[in-house]
Amino acid sequence: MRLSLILAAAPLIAATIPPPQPPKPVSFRLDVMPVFFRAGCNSGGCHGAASGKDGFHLGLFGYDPAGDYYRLTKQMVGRRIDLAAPEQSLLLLKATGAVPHSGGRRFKPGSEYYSTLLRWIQAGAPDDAANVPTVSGISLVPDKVVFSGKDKRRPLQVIARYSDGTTRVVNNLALYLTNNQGTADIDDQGVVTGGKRGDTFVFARFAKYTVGAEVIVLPNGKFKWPKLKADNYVDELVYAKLQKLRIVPSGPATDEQFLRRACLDLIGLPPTGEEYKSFMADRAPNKRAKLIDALLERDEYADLWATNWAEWLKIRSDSNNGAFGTDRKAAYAYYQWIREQMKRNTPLDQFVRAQVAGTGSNLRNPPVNLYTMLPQGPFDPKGVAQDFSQVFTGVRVQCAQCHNHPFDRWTQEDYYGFVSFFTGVKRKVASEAREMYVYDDPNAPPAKHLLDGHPVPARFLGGDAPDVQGKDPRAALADWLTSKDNALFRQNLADRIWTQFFGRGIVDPVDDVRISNPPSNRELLEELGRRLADYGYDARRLVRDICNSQVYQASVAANDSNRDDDSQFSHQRLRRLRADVMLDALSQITETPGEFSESPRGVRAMQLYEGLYRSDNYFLKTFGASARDSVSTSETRIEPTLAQALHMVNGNTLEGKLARSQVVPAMLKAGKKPSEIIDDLFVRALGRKPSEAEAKKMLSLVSASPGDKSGYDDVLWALVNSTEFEFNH
Amino acid sequence: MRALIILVAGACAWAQPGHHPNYDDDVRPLFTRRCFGCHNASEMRSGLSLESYAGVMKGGSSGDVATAGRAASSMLFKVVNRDDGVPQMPLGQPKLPENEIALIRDWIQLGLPENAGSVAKGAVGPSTEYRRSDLNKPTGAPAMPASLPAVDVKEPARAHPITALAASPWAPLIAAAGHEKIYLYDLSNRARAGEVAFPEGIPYVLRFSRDGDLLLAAGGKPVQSGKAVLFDVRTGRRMAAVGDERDIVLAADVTPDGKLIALGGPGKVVRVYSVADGKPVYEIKKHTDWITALEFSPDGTHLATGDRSGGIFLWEAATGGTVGALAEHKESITSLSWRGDGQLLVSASEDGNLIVWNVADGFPISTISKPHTPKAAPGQYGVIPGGVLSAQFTSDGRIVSVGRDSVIRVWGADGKPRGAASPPNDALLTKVAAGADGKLVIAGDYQGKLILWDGTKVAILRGAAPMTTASAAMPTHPTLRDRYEPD
Repeated sequence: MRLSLILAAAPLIAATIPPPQPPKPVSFRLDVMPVFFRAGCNSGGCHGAASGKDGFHLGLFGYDPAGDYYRLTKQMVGRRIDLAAPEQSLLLLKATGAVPHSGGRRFKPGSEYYSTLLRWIQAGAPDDAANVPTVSGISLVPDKVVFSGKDKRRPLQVIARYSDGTTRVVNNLALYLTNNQGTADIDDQGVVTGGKRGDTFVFARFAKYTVGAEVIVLPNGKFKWPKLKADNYVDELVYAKLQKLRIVPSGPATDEQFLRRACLDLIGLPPTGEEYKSFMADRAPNKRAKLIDALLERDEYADLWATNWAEWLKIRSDSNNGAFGTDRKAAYAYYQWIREQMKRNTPLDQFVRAQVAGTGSNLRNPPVNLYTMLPQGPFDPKGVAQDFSQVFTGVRVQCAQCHNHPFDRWTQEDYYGFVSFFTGVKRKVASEAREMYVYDDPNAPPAKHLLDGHPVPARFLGGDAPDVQGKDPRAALADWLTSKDNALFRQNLADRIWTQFFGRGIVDPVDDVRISNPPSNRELLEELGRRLADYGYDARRLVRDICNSQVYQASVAANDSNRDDDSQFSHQRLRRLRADVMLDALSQITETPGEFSESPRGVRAMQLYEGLYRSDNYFLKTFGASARDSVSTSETRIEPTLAQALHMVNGNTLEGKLARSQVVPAMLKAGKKPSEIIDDLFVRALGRKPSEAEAKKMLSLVSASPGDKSGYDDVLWALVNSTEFEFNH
Repeated sequence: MRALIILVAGACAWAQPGHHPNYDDDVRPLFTRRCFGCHNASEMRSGLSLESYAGVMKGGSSGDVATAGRAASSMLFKVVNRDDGVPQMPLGQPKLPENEIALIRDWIQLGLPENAGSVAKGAVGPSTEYRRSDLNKPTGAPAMPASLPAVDVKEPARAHPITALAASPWAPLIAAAGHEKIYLYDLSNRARAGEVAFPEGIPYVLRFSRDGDLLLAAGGKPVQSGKAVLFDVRTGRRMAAVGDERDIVLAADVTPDGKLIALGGPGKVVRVYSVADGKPVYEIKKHTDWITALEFSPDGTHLATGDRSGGIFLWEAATGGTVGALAEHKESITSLSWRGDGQLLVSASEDGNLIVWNVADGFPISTISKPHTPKAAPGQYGVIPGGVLSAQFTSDGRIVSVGRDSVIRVWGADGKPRGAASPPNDALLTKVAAGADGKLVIAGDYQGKLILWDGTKVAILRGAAPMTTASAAMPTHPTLRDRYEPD
């Protein structure tokens, strides 16, 4: 019976199989090289290393097809490819682990990968015709997955598009990665598995492209979005995302908390006693907005942003060096120019433009110091292009110097095209040795491609090649960079501003913009960028929007739904004070002026114009102040270390300030009661009055000799050694 | 033809009988035209004045510019010949005409005579003129295969690239590598003369013994095994098999007396075996990279070995005692070949250069720079692979070579070109061998073709598919692209 059924079925099956097609010839670039990519043969740890592995080199991630073809077929005739006995080709024996191979078995004999390579060798290992199609892009379908509940699976499709208009599903040839394995895992066929609640991205890589899909994993159970009134677009966009993720934001911060936070973020100083008193006494409903406006007008606001830019632009100097234009005088001129622009609230596009396209003396036209400070030595167009791109767009292109960026869209062609904007920049020492002239030689040849040395004319990142024949290409570069249409520029600037108020970028870190590091809230980033451009790059207007939002003014205290959230701004973030802010705060609290080498007494750490004085200072160095060696925002470190704790407990900075401080003696002299003095110290150090219990405890410390300064010193010492002081919250 | 001769004679006007090129009459006038702009007595760019003989002898700020008798190692010659890694002189100007470069070379070779009265010392080292030697000539008729047994190895669907090729030094006989076998061809009738099985795998080395009686084949299976096997040419009988490599053998040779076999490969060690009992005699562990070429000297006293990093060493053949190093090449050595008298050795390398060495002092007597590097097409950038893949001294002291430009080239030992031929398709030429008569050149290519060039005509001995009958007519290709320049 069973037999007859099978017999009966056989003709049916035969009828449904289409007549055999002549097999498509195997293409080296379209079929064979993707196998090397998928199997990891051309990765950086294996044959893709610059010098190859065990004597065999492949271009990293397949950037050099012609070279790979040569090395496989002709470099050592007969060894890697055996045309007469294809199965015995070393390529196949190694890949399947049939002979000793450092990389082990990459795939099995008989697998799809094996058969692709075998068929290619059987066909005579031919090279492709010159007009072979190239991959022009890939997409992930769907590009957004929402799982409600744990352990759901969803297959994604990776579709490659080719220059001849065809498409192909390449799930078997792509590579996959996830930004958060706990929330979403992706296997080697592109199937996503949801994990714990959250929002992350998974990526597929194929050819030189990387593409991501957002995966949201929602918690089980019922969810009720509270009625929240958004104050502005910042609130609307953050709340929209939170609602999607079923996260309830934290409630608002208290006035005391807000005051301290706003002062630290906007002017880099804690509130003084008078500021505290007047803000707390103010009964106006818009007193927070008024405070923000007032702080924006302060000179310290300009100091803070001048320091931020000075860090990003590597303003560092030496005392007697005319050779590279990094004299103290140049650093001072550059810093003062930046500070002046911040004080005047010069539109940021103009501010950047003056630096990018500047020519002339670096003392008389300080913004040209962009081309002395970024190199910090001999002028290297590649180094300048890399720093430039990171500072002004957040894109790190340096990977593409040696190979196409593995996790982003940038190719070597993009890299060398961008470098070509700077190959004409020339510098010349003026008759005054500390002065340097910066100019452009419009006849300088463009940068040469690493692979074969062909010249790559200037081209914008991800954009066109401008006609710069006989012109200074930096003018075109400045136009492109600061154009309202340049989302890279406006969004990165907006994100840098955002980061100042949350301690985290929407892209994090803010200067590592790439496809595989997507923004945590794309709509928010886009809107902030658009607004900044629409405001004519008025930074203070954007700051005002951000600071007036409920999102900024939220408490740091978490609730059950947002406890794990660290990227969606559902609560404020605890941030350790930067080294310079902390030192300036200690100076203000104790009313002891700052003292730094080669600087006038009373200068604040936030006003030091160049990097070496900062890294010379033990306190600033220990607490992670940037030495301005690199344009990376991560140069400023806020991680706690043991040395920091020991320096606060035992070190001479706090000890000296307490010893010199006349704050307590003055209050004692004025006849203030111990409880008043303790209240004052709490406000100075923590921006709040002590609780009853705290007040009681502190009073007991000074009650033995209430007229003696030392007891109050102990109180203040304890307050500034608390985490409450060291953190912005 | 007559015009050519006149031109050649004109270029060599100084080469009249009784006159040798000297500084005052020949070289100084050339320097006046070409070099005095910078290297004069007052300017002395780079500390060098060529304005007086003493100035030339004194040299420049980086040392001597000319060493008597050694043009190839003299800076003066290297800069005008535009060798790699030296300033390209005259700076910013086109290269000097060939005859002027030749004048400088010959002047150095003759010992840098100052004037017509100076005695030409002649070149240091052996003469580049050479007459065929009868060393190792067999007493009877040279060995030819006679009715070899049939080999039961199926012809592959696609021909094996010519990974090894050899010509008998005395008989009109060549051997070419196939998949697990070796093809023999009789050049007198240009027909197949039999096959020899090589079950060890792919032959990467084929070599006739110096008297032509034995054929050495070596190779193996990649990353599995390697061996060298000695065959009797007349009968095809296996005489000996030595070596137990874990990877293929890339280089091997047998001494003229047939007593020792040296072999090497990816193992980086040269192993020398006794043919009589197959036991190892000594090992050479000096190389730091794969052994890619080796050859015993024609008198059997010396052994030259080369590696994948460009290192060449000379050894005493009997004991492996050190003789010296020939350090010049930057990339893999692809061939080492001794001239019949053992005084000169030619080395070919993937770095693109052919170097003829004076074995006695270890100095190059001529460097042929990039002879096989293809010209960059317009708009083509980057390093174009331009290695010399195979080179051999002919029995009459010339050199034949093939490389990545797929052209067969012939040279004098002095480095002067003696002819070139392009086979009619662009398949990569992988190996070259010189026929016993010293005239015929045999080349093999990536598609398994065998090409003959007799100095005037290119002919295909075997097409892409191996011939199946010995009587198949030998086609002469209709579209010849060969050039020949008489000596």
